[in-house]
Amino acid sequence: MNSKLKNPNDIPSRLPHRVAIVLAAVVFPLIWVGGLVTTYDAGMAVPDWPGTYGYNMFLYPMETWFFGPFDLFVEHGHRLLGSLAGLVAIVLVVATLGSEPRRWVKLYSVALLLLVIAQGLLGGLRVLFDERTLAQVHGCVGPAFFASVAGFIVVTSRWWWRQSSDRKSDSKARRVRGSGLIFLSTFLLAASFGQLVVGAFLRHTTVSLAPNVFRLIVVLHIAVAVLLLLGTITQWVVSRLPRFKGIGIRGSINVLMLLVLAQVMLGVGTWVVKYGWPAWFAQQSFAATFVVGEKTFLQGNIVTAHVAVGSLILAFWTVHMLRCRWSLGPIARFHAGFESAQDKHVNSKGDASFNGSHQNANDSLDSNEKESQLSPQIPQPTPQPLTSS
Amino acid sequence: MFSKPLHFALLLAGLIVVAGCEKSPPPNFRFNSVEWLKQERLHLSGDDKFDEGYKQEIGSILTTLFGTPDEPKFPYLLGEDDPAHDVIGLDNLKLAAGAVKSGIEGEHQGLYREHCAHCHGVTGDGAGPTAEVLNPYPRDFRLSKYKFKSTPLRQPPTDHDLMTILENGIPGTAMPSFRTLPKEELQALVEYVKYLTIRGQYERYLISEIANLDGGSIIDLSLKSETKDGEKPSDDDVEEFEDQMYTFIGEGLQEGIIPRWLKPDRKVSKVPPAPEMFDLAHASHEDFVLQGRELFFSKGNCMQCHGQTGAGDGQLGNFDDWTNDWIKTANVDPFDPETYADFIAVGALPPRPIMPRNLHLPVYRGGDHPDDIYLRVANGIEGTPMPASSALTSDEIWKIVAYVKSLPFENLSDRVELPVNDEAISNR
Repeated sequence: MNSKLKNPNDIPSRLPHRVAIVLAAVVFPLIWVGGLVTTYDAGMAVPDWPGTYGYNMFLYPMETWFFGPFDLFVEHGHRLLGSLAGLVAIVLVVATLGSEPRRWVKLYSVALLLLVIAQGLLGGLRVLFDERTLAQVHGCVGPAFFASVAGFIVVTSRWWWRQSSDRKSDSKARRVRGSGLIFLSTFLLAASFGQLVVGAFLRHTTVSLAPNVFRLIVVLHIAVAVLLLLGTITQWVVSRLPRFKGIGIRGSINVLMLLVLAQVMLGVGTWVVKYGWPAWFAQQSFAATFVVGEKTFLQGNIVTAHVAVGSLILAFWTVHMLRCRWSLGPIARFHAGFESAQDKHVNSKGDASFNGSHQNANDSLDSNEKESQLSPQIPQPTPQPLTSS
Repeated sequence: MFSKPLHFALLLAGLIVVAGCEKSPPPNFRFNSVEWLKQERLHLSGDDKFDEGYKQEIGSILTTLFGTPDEPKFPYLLGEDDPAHDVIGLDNLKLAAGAVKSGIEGEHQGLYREHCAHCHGVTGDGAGPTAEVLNPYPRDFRLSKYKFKSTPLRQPPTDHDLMTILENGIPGTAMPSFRTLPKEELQALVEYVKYLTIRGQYERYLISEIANLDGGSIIDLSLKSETKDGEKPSDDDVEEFEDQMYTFIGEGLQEGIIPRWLKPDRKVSKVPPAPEMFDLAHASHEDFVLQGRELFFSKGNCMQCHGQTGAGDGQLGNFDDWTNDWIKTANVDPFDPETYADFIAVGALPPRPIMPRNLHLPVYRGGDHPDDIYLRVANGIEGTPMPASSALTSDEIWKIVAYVKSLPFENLSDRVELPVNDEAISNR
């Protein structure tokens, strides 16, 4: 079978992609609520696990949850959302195993399920052992899982498949090269995770930590923030070069640029609402009159937003890095797997599945147009007659 | 293609879980090594050191009397009738101590560790994890000095003073307002702060007494114990033991430190009513302010630190008492890090000069009510170079308060410098 798949309609099934989007939509609020748990020191608001005050977690009375103490509300809510994420991850595995032709993507979905289970266990052990170190690890694995889901969304996306076909059909001479962007995006992805780990140390500081160690961690956090800001600006500026137009990397870096700028402001805001303005501003009226409000709505949400946007940045760096690699990287390695997967898929469903009607092709074009409105950087495929030999 | 990374990820997750199961020990009170080093410098020559065994002995005495951060105790030596019950309630201590938890009814435990320990430290030594990145440094309770209070210098604050700070916070610093906490929790924190203060004071007292011991124990428990053969201790030994107990617990703690905290409300400074001219609407208010200004430059001598313009640009290079406590006694040069590196190594925070307040900013850390400012001028600010104004009458203090309150609205370009009245200052 020598298939020539160039139409988005040739994607075997959109189900894994859509389920992964649902999973991401569950995980982001889960991370936000998890951030609230730490911000309000509510990690031990429910002393048992996996139950809640002796109840089965899912049978805990709604009225006590909703109208009880705030700490209990966020901690139990975090557990329920975590369970929901686990259920959606199971659905993702079932959907992927049933419809995804690529073996490594199937394994990817299983890995996501295992990771969410491990994360749930970490959360439970953190409660049972009342252990801050586990809370730190739990706080780092959550965003890593979120970023992994974002990666799954990319590799099951229409863009990914279409780009594969485009890459295969394009001559090597026409292909845009961008090893610098690939390296930088990979480096910044790693740096943003490192930054998140450093942030987790700051958030979950043990009360016995020496002041000079805490100061070093703060300096490191600020240094990495500057590095990330400069790296993102560099990546954004380079991606504006004409040769990178229309290859699908500008949308993600635009979002990242906004997120990183917002994150820097949230970082400053976090410091101010936690510790007041730095001493450099001591002679300014706004700083001298500022009173820190412990556990206020403002403090709780700015600090938590800083945590949540950090996770969002990690997820978008994952998206951007994969897009850079897939658009600008060497073809051979990924492409071999892609061809093999396509062939398997065609073999399993028969040629008819790739001989969709023109109506189908038009449908896919319409949806493609919709997608391009959301993400204008994605190139428009030219509708072509479907062929198979 | 992902099988290897997957195996690696699983292995890593497994390691994390296994490593994480090693429960970290509960936090302990930190020994006051700065005081120890200071006393060594004061009493010993050259490289001589105190016997390290005393550290363990002091630790044992403190644990016996005050418990641990998870299981606090208080030395109610007179039992149920001990007046110290009015100072600190054990229930409140237990509410504030220990690990952070909250119950099904929303009741919180471990309040101190949740809200205070990150800055003030588990021991209340002002050296929590965040201490070095904050300016001013968090307060070290162990010196029993509180800046903003209604009592005179060298008197402990009232519960109301501490509660006011907790409720209002301190503007321009990292000390937050805890208005969102219930009163009962704030009261528990107030009592826990007093507990840490008394414990810290007593620890300093014990360390300072080491130099007076001739190699013997502080309190030799073996004097009161039966021997291995079951022989009862001799009368001399019991008497010696009781002497030690009286010296170190009776005189040092029961008659020395704790009574200062009993009924501090009796010692509250009364703020006389402000004169009518203090009222902004009064016809002579402007004149009243001008008189205050003159006092600011003459008898009050305020400009010495707060500067000719009141912008806090007068005498700089002073240190607060928490820093002076070790830099002066140990004869170190606070501007030469090499001379105090050993103090930093044992936990002292690097010395920072204290900045006089810029009175043109409409903010007063101890409260902006005229009564608060009156108390700051009348009583001074404990632990800082701001002195009590014993030479000023209450009327004069109110005039200075009126002037201070007017400073944020003063146009600096229009002001006329007043000559400094050296005679009045020297008579002060």
